[in-house]
Amino acid sequence: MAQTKVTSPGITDSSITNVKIADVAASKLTGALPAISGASLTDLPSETKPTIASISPSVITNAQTAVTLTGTNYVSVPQVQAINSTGAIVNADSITYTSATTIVATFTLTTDGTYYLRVENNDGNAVRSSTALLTVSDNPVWVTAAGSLGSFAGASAIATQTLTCTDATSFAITSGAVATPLTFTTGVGSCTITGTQTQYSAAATSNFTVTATDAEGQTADRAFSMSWSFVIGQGGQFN
Amino acid sequence: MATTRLYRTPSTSSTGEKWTVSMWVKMGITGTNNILFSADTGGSFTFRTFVELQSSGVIMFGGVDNGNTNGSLATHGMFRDPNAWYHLVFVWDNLNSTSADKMKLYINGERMTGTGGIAYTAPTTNSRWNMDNRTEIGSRHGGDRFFTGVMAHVHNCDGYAYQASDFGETDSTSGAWVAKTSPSVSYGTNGFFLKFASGATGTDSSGQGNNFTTAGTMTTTKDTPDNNFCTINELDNYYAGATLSNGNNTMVSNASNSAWLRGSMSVTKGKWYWETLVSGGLGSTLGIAATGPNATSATGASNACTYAYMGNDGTIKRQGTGTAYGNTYTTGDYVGTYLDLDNNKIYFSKNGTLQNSGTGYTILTPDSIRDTLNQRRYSPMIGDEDGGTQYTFKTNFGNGCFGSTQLTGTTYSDAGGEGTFKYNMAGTFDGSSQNFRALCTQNLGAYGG
Repeated sequence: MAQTKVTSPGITDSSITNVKIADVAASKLTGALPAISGASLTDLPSETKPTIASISPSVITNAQTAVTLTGTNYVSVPQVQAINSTGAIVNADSITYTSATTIVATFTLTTDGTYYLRVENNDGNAVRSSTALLTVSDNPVWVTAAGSLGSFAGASAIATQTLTCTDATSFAITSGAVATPLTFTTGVGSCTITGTQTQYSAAATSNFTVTATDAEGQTADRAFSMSWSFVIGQGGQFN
Repeated sequence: MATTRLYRTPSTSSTGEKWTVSMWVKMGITGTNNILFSADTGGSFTFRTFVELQSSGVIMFGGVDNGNTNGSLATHGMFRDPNAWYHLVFVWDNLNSTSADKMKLYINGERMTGTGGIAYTAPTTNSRWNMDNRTEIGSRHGGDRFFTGVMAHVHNCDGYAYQASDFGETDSTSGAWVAKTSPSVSYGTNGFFLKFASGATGTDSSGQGNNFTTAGTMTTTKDTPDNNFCTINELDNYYAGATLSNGNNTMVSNASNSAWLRGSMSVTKGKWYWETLVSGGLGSTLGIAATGPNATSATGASNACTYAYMGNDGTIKRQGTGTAYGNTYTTGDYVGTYLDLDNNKIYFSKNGTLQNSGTGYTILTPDSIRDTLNQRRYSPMIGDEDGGTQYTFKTNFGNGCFGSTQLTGTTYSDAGGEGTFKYNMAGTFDGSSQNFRALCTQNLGAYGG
C-alpha cells in the first residue's frame, strides 16, 4: 500500500503496516499511544529532571544534620524529602541551593532506618533516589566510663577488663597502647583486655583511646588509663 | 622460740669497706634481742659486724674488730611496735672522709642523726660484712638471738653506699613510705636480694647467685609492707601472760591465767574472717572483744565487752550468759570466725562447717558496746578459761600459715584475694551470701576501719 495521509479514524487493527505519521501536532499525542514500530516522534515537549548522584554524609544520627546532595539539574530552590521504608515522608527542615549540581538539605530524622531522598524542582520535575541513600542511626554509646580502669598489680595477671559500648560491632585502639603484652580483643558490644604486663617494672600509667565502630561505620572514642603498681608480694616469717 | 635463720659463707672476700643493706622488718617478740643480720668469725665474736633489735627497743648497728668496738650506731628511740613494718637501711662507708657519714641508719626514709637521734662512734676500719665470714640473716654464728618476726625484700649491695630513697619512696596518694620493688642498684660481688618466695626462701634474686641456706622452718607469708596483716597483739599481753611466736601468730596461753589476747587490728564496720587452730582441750574462748582484760583471772566468757564461742559447750557467751549456738570444739579443731559489722552478727565454723545452720548471733554495735576507754571497736579475741592448762592457738588471719606450717594443697582466698585460708569462708549467712575478708590493711582501707 502506498504511503498515504490518514485523515480519519476507523482503521482496523493490523490493517495498516509500515505507515509514516506526519503533520500530527504534539498536542495530539498525549495519553496512551499505540505501539508504533519504526515510528519517529518529533516535536515532543522537553523535560529537565533533577538527578541525585551522591549524598554526604550518608549516615547521620537523629540530631539535625545537613546533608549535601550532588547531582544535576537542580533549580533554586527545590523541595527535598526523606522517605523511609514505611513510606513516611519527612520534609527537610531547610534547603540551601548552592548550584545546579549541589544542594544542601538539613534534616531532623527522629526515626532510625534507611531513607530514599526525593528532590522536586519548582517546575514539578522530580527525582527519587533509586536506592535508600541515607541511613539514620544512633552513634555507638560508651557504657564504660572514661578515665582510669584502676590500679593493677604490675607483676600479676589482671582481672579481665571489659569495655562496653552500646551498638558497637568492633573496637580498636586508635591512640596510645595498653601495656605489652596485654591482649586487646574486639567483640560485639564490648572488648576485653587480659594478660600480664611485662612492660613496666616500676609504677607507671598506660594511656590509650579505644574507638568503637557500629554497623553503619559510626564511631565513638573513649580515653582510658591503667595504672601499674608494684608491691612486695610475700615476706619470710622466721619461726 | 624461733630457730630459723639464713646463712652462707662467701667464697670470695670483699673488702667490707663499703656496703648498704636495705630490709623491711615486722618485729616479732619485743623485749628480746633479735639479730637482723650478722657476719663474724665465730667463737667469741672477736671480729664481727651486726645489726640487732635489742630487748630495750634500741636498734644497734655496730662492729667489733679484734675485740674492740669498730663502729657503733644506736638509736635513742625505742622501736617496740610489733604490729608495724619498718624500712631499715644500713650504710657502712669507711672510705667516707666525713666521720659522721661512715655509718648511717635510715628508718622509714628518715636518716637517724644527731645527738638526739643516735649514739654514734665512727668505725676505725673495715667491717666483716661481705667478707668470707659466716654471714647470717636472722641470727648470728652459732645460732642465737634469733629474729622472731617477718622480713621482706632484703637487699645487700656490696661496694656501694646508697640512700633510703634508692630503695623506697613516698606514695603520692597515701603519703606512706613504700618499697621500690625493683630498685636501680648494683649488688657487687657478695651482694644479694632475698624475696623469701615460697620454696625458695634463701634464693638470691640479685643475679649474683649468692644463695643462702635456710635453717629451721621459714614460712612464706602474705604479711608484707604493702599489706600488713592482723596478728595477735603482743602489746595486749599483760594480764594474759601468754607466750607468742611465729610472727605473733601463735599463742601459748599461761597455765595460770585465763585472760585473753586481742588481734592487732580492730574494726567498726565491714565483714571479716579469720581461722584459729586449737590445741589444749575444751576450754577455748574464741571470738571478739571490744576491750582487753583487766586481771589475770578475767575470761572472755564473762566480760560485758566480749563474745566468746565456747569450746566446752558450743554456746556463745557474753557477761557469763551462754546462748546455745553450735558444736563443741577441742584440740585439732579449726574454728572460723565471721564478724559481720554491717549487720552486727557473728558466726562461727568448725573445721569448715558453718555452725547453727548459718544463723548468726546478734551482737551489740561497736558504738554501743564500749569499755571504759570508750574504744567502740571489735578485735579478734583468743583465749581460754582453763586456768590449769596451757592452750596453743595458731591463728591464720589470711597470711597463709598456721604457726610454722604453710598452708598447702587446696586453699581459699577471701573476696578480694588478699588473704589465704584453709577453709572456704563463702556460705549462706542468715539466708544470703556474704563476702567476708581478711583483716589486712588492703582490706581495711577499702572495706572497713
